Amino acid sequence: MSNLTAPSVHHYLDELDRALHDLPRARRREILRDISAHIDAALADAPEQSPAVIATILDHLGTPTEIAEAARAELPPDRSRIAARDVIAIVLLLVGGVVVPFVGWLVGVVLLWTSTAWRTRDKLIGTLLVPGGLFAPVLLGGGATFFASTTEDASCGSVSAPTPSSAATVVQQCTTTGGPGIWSTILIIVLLIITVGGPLFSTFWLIRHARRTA
Amino acid sequence: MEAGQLLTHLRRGTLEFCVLAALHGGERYAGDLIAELGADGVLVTSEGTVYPLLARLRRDGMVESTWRESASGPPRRYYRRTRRGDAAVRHFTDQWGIFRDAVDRVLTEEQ
Repeated sequence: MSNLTAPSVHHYLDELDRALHDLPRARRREILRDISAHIDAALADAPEQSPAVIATILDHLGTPTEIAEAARAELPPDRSRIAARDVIAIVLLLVGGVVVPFVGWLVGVVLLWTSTAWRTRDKLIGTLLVPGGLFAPVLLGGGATFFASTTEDASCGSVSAPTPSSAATVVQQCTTTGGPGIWSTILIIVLLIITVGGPLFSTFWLIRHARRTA
Repeated sequence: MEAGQLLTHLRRGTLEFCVLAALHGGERYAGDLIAELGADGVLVTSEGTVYPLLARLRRDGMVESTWRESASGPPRRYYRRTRRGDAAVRHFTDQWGIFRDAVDRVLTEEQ
């Protein structure tokens, strides 16, 4: 008698399948295969294949619920989720200050320090790198655009004054007045890299170091 | 705490090493292994619960398994201990001795 033809075995395996429904597919299939093979082999080894023998085999196996509980106990702890409030803290720290200047970021800081998901070291990184989150680079970027447009106007405006000079002089004047502009542009780019990179780094840091719950 | 519940607690953390230890003689059919562990009704009461444990030990690299055709009846899954499994048993054996002695010491004082 193959286990598939014995109704009690069929019923048992069905129940086991249902009890295992919340487990990853591969785990479920492996357990079903192992249990099914166990029953087949035990039946093959038994001197006779009566319903009583089958009942004893199933009884020794334990209930499907017991097996499913054992299977669940072997699952690695679920480390996939960060609590919703901690996700909000991370988001606010990064962009809260952009949406609602200062206040948005400050709410993120409060959520960060009242959370149990991070250690003090992580909280310091989250707060100090960089205060305001992406507000500073947004401000800096806006300022730089404004600064660049005004210096351009100023430098080229002076050159465009009507003089009898040649085109070469105009170009020369443009580059000499453009000198400090280039350095301030480089400075702004460096500042942008730091103020963008800092908050992004601390965001990744907080995601990596958050204690996760099931 | 009732007896069954107490045994469940005691098995947690020890049964997997008993499974590994029972594989000392090389490759073994899972059914035989489980039957041996369940013989006294102390280490294993529900035989089916050992399969998820064996599956985890395999994922952890403590054991390896092969399906083999058998002369009588269906294919059977055989398990063998890996070197990692050997090391785990040795380590557990040392720790268990220390643990058992500590518990025995306290229990002796109790009597």
